[in-house]
Amino acid sequence: MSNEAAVAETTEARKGAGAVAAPVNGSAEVAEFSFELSADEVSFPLDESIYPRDAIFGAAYLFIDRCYVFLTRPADGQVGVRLRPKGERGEALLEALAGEFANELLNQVLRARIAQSTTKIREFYMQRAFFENTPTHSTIDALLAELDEEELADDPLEISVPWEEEPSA
Amino acid sequence: MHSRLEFSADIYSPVAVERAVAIFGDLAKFTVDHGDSAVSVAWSEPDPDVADVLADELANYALNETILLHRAPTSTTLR
Repeated sequence: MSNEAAVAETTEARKGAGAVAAPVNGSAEVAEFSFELSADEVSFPLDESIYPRDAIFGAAYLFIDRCYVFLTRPADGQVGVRLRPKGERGEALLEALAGEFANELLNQVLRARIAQSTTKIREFYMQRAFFENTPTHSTIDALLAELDEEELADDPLEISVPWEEEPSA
Repeated sequence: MHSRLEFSADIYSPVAVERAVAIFGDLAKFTVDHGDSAVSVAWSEPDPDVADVLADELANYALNETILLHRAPTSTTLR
C-alpha cells in the first residue's frame, strides 16, 4: 500500500474505544484504551510510562505470526501500534484484535513485575541448586537402604518365597 | 511502483532494519537512509508476485529482528 493510500485510509478511519483501562502510575486517573479502525487495520497509541518497551515488544512478538505489526513514534513517550491481520479481516475481528493486544500488554507488564519482585528468590534457588553441596545423593541412598531393610526383614505375605516351595501357612 | 517505509530509530534497531533489507534484497531494489530519528527504506521494481505484501513483510521481519536483538543485547549472533 502506498503512503498516500495509507493517509487516505486514516482520514476515513473510525475511532473506537476498548474496554481496557489502566491506572496511571498508581493514581486514580484512568487511561482509556482507544483505537482507530480502518478497512483492514487497527491502530492505537500506547503510553510508554504505562506499558514499558519490553511489554510492547513482548505483545508484538506474539502477534507477528498472524498480523503485520508496525510500530511508530507519534509523540514523545508514545508508541503507535498498527495491526493488520494476515488473513481474514473485518471490523469485529479488528476490534477483538485490539482488545487481545491490550490484554497481552497487561499480561506482559504483570510478568515483568513478578519477574522483578521475585528476582532475589530465584537467584537464591539457582545459587543453591548450582553452588551448594547439598547431600541429595546420600539422602536418596539412605532412604533406599532403609526401604530394603524393611522389605527384607518383614515378609508377612511371603512374597520372597519361591512359588515351587510350599508356603508355611 | 515505488514505495517507502520509515522505521523510528528509537524503536527499531538499525541493524535489524539492515538485516531485513538484506533478506528481502532479491525482491526489489532497496536504498536505506539512516537519519537521526528514523531509518528510511525505499524500494522500487518489486517482484510482482510479492509487491502487495512486501512492505508489511519487511516491517514484520525488521520488528522480529529488533525484538530478538532487544532481548539478547550482548549476543552478536542469534542463529
